[in-house]
Amino acid sequence: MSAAPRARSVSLGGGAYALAGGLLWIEPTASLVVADLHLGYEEAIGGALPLWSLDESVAALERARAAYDARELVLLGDVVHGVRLSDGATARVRATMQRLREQCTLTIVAGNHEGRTRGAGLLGDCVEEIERAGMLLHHGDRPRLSGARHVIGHLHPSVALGGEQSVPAFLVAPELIVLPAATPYSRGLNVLSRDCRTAIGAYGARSSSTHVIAATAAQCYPFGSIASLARATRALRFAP
Amino acid sequence: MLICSPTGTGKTLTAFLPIFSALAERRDRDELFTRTFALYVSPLRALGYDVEHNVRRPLREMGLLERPDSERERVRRGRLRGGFVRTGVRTGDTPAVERRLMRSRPPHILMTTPESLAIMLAMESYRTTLREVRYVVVDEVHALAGNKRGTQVSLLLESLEELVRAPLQRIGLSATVAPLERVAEYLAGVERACAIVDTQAIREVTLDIQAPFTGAMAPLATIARAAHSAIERARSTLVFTNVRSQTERIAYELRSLAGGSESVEAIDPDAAPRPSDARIGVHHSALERSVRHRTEARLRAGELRAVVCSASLELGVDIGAIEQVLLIGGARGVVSTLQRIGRAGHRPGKLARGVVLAQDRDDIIEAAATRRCIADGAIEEIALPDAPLDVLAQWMVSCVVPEKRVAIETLLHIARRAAPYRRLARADILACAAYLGGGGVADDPAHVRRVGFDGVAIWGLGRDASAAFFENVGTIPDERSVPVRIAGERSFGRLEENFVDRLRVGDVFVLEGRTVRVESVDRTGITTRTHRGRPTVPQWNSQIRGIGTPLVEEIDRLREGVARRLEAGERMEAAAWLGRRYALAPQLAEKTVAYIEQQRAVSALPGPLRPVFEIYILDALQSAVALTGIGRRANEALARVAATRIARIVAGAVTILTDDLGFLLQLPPRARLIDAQWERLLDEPGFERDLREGLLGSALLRTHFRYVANTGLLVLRRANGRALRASSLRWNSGRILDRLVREDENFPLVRETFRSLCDEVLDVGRARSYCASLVAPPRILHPPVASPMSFGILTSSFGDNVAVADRSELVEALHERVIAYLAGAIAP
Repeated sequence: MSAAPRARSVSLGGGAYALAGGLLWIEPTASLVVADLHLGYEEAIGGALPLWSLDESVAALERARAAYDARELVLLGDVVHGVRLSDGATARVRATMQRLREQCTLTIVAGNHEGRTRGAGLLGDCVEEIERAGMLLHHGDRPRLSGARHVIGHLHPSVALGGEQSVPAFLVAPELIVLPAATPYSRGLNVLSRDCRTAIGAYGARSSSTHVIAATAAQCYPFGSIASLARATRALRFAP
Repeated sequence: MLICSPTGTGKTLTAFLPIFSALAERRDRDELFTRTFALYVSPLRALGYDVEHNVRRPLREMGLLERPDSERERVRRGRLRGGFVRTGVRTGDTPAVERRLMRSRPPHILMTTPESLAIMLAMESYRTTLREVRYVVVDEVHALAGNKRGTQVSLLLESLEELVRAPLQRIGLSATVAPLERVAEYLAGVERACAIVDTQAIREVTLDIQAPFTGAMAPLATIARAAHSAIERARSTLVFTNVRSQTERIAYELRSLAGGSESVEAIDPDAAPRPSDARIGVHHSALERSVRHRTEARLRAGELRAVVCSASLELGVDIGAIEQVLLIGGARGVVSTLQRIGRAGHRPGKLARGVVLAQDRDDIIEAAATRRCIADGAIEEIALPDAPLDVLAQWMVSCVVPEKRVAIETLLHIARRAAPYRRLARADILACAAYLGGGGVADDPAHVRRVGFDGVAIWGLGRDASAAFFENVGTIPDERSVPVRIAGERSFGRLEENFVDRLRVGDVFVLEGRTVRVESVDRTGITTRTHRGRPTVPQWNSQIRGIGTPLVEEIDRLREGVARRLEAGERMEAAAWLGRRYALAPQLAEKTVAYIEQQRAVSALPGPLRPVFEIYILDALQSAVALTGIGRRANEALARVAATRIARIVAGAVTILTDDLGFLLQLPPRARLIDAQWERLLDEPGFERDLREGLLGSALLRTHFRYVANTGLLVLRRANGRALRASSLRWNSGRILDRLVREDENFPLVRETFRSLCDEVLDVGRARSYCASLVAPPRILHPPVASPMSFGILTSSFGDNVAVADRSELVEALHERVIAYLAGAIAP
C-alpha cells in the first residue's frame, strides 16, 4: 500500500477495509467497527453546547450500518467521555445503545474513559477484547505484543494541516490497525509525532511500514507510510 | 462630575475633598454609622493601596482617622470607637480574613476594582453595607470607557444606583481623553447631568526627536547607546518601548553598557548581576507582580537610574518624580504619547519633556506628525463599545445570584441607563437569557444553566450554580502565563503559555534582563539556568497597538506635502516646509525628504485615495506589500478580505502580516496572480461577506471567541476552584465556535465575537470606507528592490498565518501534493 488516489474505502488486507468517516469494515464477520465516540463530551467541557455530537455521530454510524448491512456493530472503547453524566445525557446514551441493539448485534469493548468495565452500568455489557477474522480487537490503552494483528483505537491519530486544523487518520501496519477517533472534538495525535511512533512501537510497528490513511466524512486519502509522509511534508514545508 | 486633567495634578485629592468634608460633618453630628459611605473604583489593583495611602494622610491630618492599633484591639473595641473614619481595600488579592472583617465593620471609604465591585454587588452580606453609599469615584476613566471592562463598570454603577437609598454622586477622574461629552455620558449614565472640569491644558509638553542613524535605520544596539547616554545625563529616566520583547532587549543592551566595555560573551555565566546592572529596571505586564512592585518601589526610592517599560507604566501608579522620558520608536498615538511624557515632571506648571528615539525614518515622520497633533489638540477619540452581549450576560447572572428573581423588563430598563447599552434590543437580552437558562440553540437543550428562565424573568439557581459567576467574574482576557525560575530559586518572571508551547530545552531567551537557557518545561513552569551568549528573545503574543485616526491623517498630510513639493521640483522647499509645519530640524527634515524621494524613485507613494501594491518574490513565493498608510487595525481587515479573495483564485494558505503602513500578502508555493487580479483585491462590493469568510477559521477569531465565551460564562476559565489548562480551554472553545457557527450563527456570543472583533480589534469601518473611497484600483508595481516603505513590513516578525480554506480543501491539497512529490512529479 502506498500513496494512492482518494477513495470511499481502502482495503487493509485480511478482509479489513478503512471506510470514509473513519470506520473499519471486517468483511468475513460483517462487522462495522468505530472507536472513540466520546459521547457526552459536551458535558465534560462545561456543557457549553448541546449534545450535538451524540446525535451526529450515531446518525453517521446508523447510516453506515444500513449501507453495508452490518450484522455486528463494535464500539471499540471510549464510547462515552466519562461515566458521570447528567441525568438527561445518561438517558439519551442509554436510549441510543438500546436503539443500536435493536438494529444488530452490539459489542462494546471497554475503554479507559468509561473506567474499563465500570461503563457497563451505563452502556450495557462490556468486554475487554474480542477476536474477529483472526484479528484481536481491544481499545489499545494496554498495549501488548501477540501473534495476531491488533485492531485498536485510543490514540486518535491525525494528520496536521497547519494552524489548528487536522484530519483524523487510520494507521495501518502488518501488526496493527489504529482507528481514528469518531468524536468531532478531538484534535488527535499527529501521526508524525514522536509520541505516535512510540505508541505504535509498543505493538512492534515501525514508521516505515505503517501507513497513513486520512479519512474525512466522504473520502479516504492514502498518504503512504509515516516515514514517506514525514519526508514529503518536510520537503513541501506544508504541515508544522 | 468628570474631572479631566493630566497625571500628577492632584485630581485624586480633588475628588476626595467633598467626601472628607461630608464625613467630617457626619462625625460632628455623630452620624458616622458602620456603613460604607464612598466607593473608589480603579482598574489598577496596585492603585487601590496607593490611593488608600494618599487618602489616609489628609484624613489623619484632619484628625478623622483612627490611630493605627493592632488588629486585635480594633476588633475587640469594635463599635465602641465609631467616631473615626475607616478606609479599606478590597481586590482579588485581599485575604479572606480581612474580607470578613470588612463585612462586619465596613470601611467608610472602600477602594476596589471593577471585578471586586461585581462580586460585592452580588453578595447579600456586602449589599447591606453598600446601601448607604453616597459617592462613587471612578478613577482612570480614560482606561475604562473604551473597553469591556469599562462597560461592565457602567452596568455595575446602575446596579449600585438600584441598591442605594439616596442619590449617588459619581465622580470620574480621567487623564487626557476625547470627546469629553461622550466620556461624561459614559460616567453619568444616559440622560443624567454631568459637570465637566477640564484642566487638560495646564501642563506644557514638549517632544524632541533624535534619529541616531545615518542610513535608513538604527540597529537596536545603537538606539540603546543613545538611550544610555541620555540616561547618564539625567537623575531618573523612563524608557518606553512598544512591545515587551523590545523592553527586554533594550534592558539587556543597557545593562551590558552600564557594566563597562567588556563584551556580553565575556560575562561569567553564573555570576550574579553586578551592582551597575542593578540600576536599570525592567517593567512589563508579563513580569511577576511582586517583581513589578519592587521595581516601582525602587524607582520611587531613587534607587534606579532608569526603568525600561512597555505600556505597563503608562497608567497611573505613583512612581515619583521622573526627570525625563524616552520613547523608543514613538508611542503609536497622540494620547499615549501625552500620557507617557506626562510621567516626567509630574507636577503642575512644570514642563514635561519627552524624547523620541527614532529607529527608522517612519518613526521620524510619526513623531513629527504626533507633535503637530499635540499642538493642534487633535487626539484619538474614544468609542464606547456598542452593547456587548457577553458583558451583559455576566451582569445578568450577577443580578440574580444566588437565588433572586428579576424580570427581563426590569433588567432591560436598568441596562439601558448605562450609556453603552442605551440602544440594547429586547431581542438581544432575551437571547442572552435563553442561553444562560440552558435554552441552547434551536430548542435543543444545552447544559449551561447559569440561571433559570421562563421567558419573562430569570432567577438564581442556588449556591453551586452561582460559583460559575463568582469564580469567573470579569472581562479581562485570560492570557495564561507560566512562571520562569532559575533552578533552585523563586520565579522571576512569566511567559505566555502560547509562547511556552513552542519552547524547547536548550532555547536561550532574555527575561527581566537576564539571559537564561531552558533546562526543563513542565506544567508548573520553566526551569532555567543563567546563560551567556546570544539570546533568542521571546516573541510575546501581545498585540501591537495600531495608530489612530488623527495621527494617520496627519502622517498622510506630511507625506503628501513633501511628495507634492518634490513633484514640483521644489526639494529645498519640501525640507523648509517640514521645518515650518512640523518644527523638524534641518537634518531630520533632510532625512525625511530623502526617504520619500527614494520611495518615489523605486516605487511610488500611496495617496489617501489610491494604494500601491508592490509585487515581490520572497523565498520563491509571490508576495505583495500593499501600502495604504491607514493604520494597523484597518490594514488587518483589508488583508483578511484580500486573502479571502486570493484563496478563491489559488489553492492553499495565504500568509498575511500587517503594520501601520500597509500589509503583506504571501501566496502559497507556485501560485501566481497577474496584475489585473491584484488590482481587484480591494473592491468594495462583497467586502463584509469576504471579511467574515476570512475571519472564520482564523486564529484571531478563535482567540477572540474564547474571551467572549469566558466573559459570557459559556466556557468557564475556572471551575470547582481550579483553573482550566489554557490549552484545553483554547481547544474547547475552538470546537464550540466551529459548532455554533455551523448550527446557529445568530447565537448571541457568536454575534458579539464578530461585533467586537470588527469594531474594537480591527477597524472595519475605516477599512471599508477606504475601499469605497478609492478613486482608482491600486497601482501595481514590480520594484527591482524592496522599497523603503515596504522595508519595515518585510523585516517584521509579527506574522500571522491565515489558512483561508476549510479542512476538506486543505487535506485535498496536501494529499495531491504528497502524491505528486512521492511520485517524483514535483521537486521540493
